[in-house]
Amino acid sequence: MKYRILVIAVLLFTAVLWSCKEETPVNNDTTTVPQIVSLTADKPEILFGGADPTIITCTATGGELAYKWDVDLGDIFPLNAEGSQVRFTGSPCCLGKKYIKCTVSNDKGSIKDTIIITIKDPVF
Amino acid sequence: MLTLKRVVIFTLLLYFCIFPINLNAQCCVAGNPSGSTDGQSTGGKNSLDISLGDMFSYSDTYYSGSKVRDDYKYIKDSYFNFSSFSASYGLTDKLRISAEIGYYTSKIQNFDFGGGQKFNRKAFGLGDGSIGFSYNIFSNHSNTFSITPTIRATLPIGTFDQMYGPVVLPIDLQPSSGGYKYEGGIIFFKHIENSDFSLISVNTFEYSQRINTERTNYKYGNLYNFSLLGIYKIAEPLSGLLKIRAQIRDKAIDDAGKIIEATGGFVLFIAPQLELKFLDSWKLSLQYEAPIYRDLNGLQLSNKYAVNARISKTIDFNSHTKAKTAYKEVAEGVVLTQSIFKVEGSCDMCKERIETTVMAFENVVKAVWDAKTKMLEISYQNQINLDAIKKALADVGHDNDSYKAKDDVYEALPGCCKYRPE
Repeated sequence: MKYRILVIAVLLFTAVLWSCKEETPVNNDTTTVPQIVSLTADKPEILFGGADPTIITCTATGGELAYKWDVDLGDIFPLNAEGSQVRFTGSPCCLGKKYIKCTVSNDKGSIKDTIIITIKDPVF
Repeated sequence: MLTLKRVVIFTLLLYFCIFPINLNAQCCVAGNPSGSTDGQSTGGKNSLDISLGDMFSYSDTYYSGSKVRDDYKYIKDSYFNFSSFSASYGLTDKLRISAEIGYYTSKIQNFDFGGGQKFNRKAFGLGDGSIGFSYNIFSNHSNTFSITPTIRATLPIGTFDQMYGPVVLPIDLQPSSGGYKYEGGIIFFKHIENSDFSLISVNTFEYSQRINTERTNYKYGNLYNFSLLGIYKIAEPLSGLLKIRAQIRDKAIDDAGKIIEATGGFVLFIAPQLELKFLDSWKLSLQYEAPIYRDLNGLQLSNKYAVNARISKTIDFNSHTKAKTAYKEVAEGVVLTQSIFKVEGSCDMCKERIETTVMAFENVVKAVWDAKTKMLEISYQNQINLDAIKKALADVGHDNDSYKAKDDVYEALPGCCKYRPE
């Protein structure tokens, strides 16, 4: 009888210890520092106005990426939900070389690249 | 009427002869819109003017020079709603300090490039703040003509480099201007004698400092505004105003120091306005402003119209303080209020005339005019129409801070009552 009680007590103690054992964290974090693979435009020169846009695409790695686009003068419109592809045009007040900056970021960091698009006057 | 005609013609000629018409309104301007103030803050020491305004502006047409360009469409339409709060305070009888802060509740551009390619973008947020001073360097004896230089600094305290989705909004949509602006100006005021007509001319020059943020390097063209405002008292609480504003903007300069050709130019606006005074110190004004002539550099989107509503109140801390101390509890528990203001006159006959005129008004309990200080003290119960009293005093020949007696009425006063300098 004593032996039986001892066995049950050891089993219960083992069960309690087992249940209190810290779970090993599972690493689901698959993000890495963003890297821009390519930043390309379907044409490097456009005419001012809305009829002659250039489509700029940024391909990047890193996971859970957020895209930010900016330019001094000119108009950028996102073409997809994640913002990796944009449409760029300019009005007559934006003639000349435009430096379009694309910043890609996630919780590990960010990286920026620039592409140059020239907006021309159709007269010249 | 001949004098009025001469003043209008002379002023217009002066503007258009001195400043050649080759200049404007430009497509890329952020920050608070211009043209919301009209230089009407003219109170004296310890008077506070506060006002709350809302402006809606709409643009949908491109211009090249002075010609409409229906063949070109880029921005389909653009509009904004801008609210502002401004205050000005009389530090002395001549020196006023003023401040303004603005907020864009919405600033929107819609694009339609055809083929179903429609886009829009929106901004909102705090615009610029400004602080300024005005100093009255000249007023004639009867206060019918004055000259007031002004200075003002605009501070980019609001939202700049705002984003819409993944894109940083362009400079012309940012609520704040992103850079400091400094303005100098001069205001001329003229009341046409023996009439209900006044003219105000507000002339300003604004220098824009180069914007140099992490993203933006840009210099707005300098801005020149010349406005001529005619005010006509239609009926007692209602005035009609007509403003003509010439706005000239130089071309902007980009980050490489190159002039941006399709910026700047000349726009001539006309702005009819109605102004209603109520409850003694409140004022409600409604203004519609539209360009009547443009000469823009290059091809630019130009403003079609703007509507501006504003409510303002003047608080005179001088009379307020005195009125407070003059409250009297009478036996029946009736509260008496006292108002004090200046009325021109010179002798005992004037005193009798002034006091008799005022005592004829309902609710006035006591009226005392001091020939030495020229101050009139009125004690009254409930409410009185102070403006009507001041007009009645002018009607019997006594100038005051609101009304001037007609010349023929003044001339009919006895010799001892004459108070205007020869």
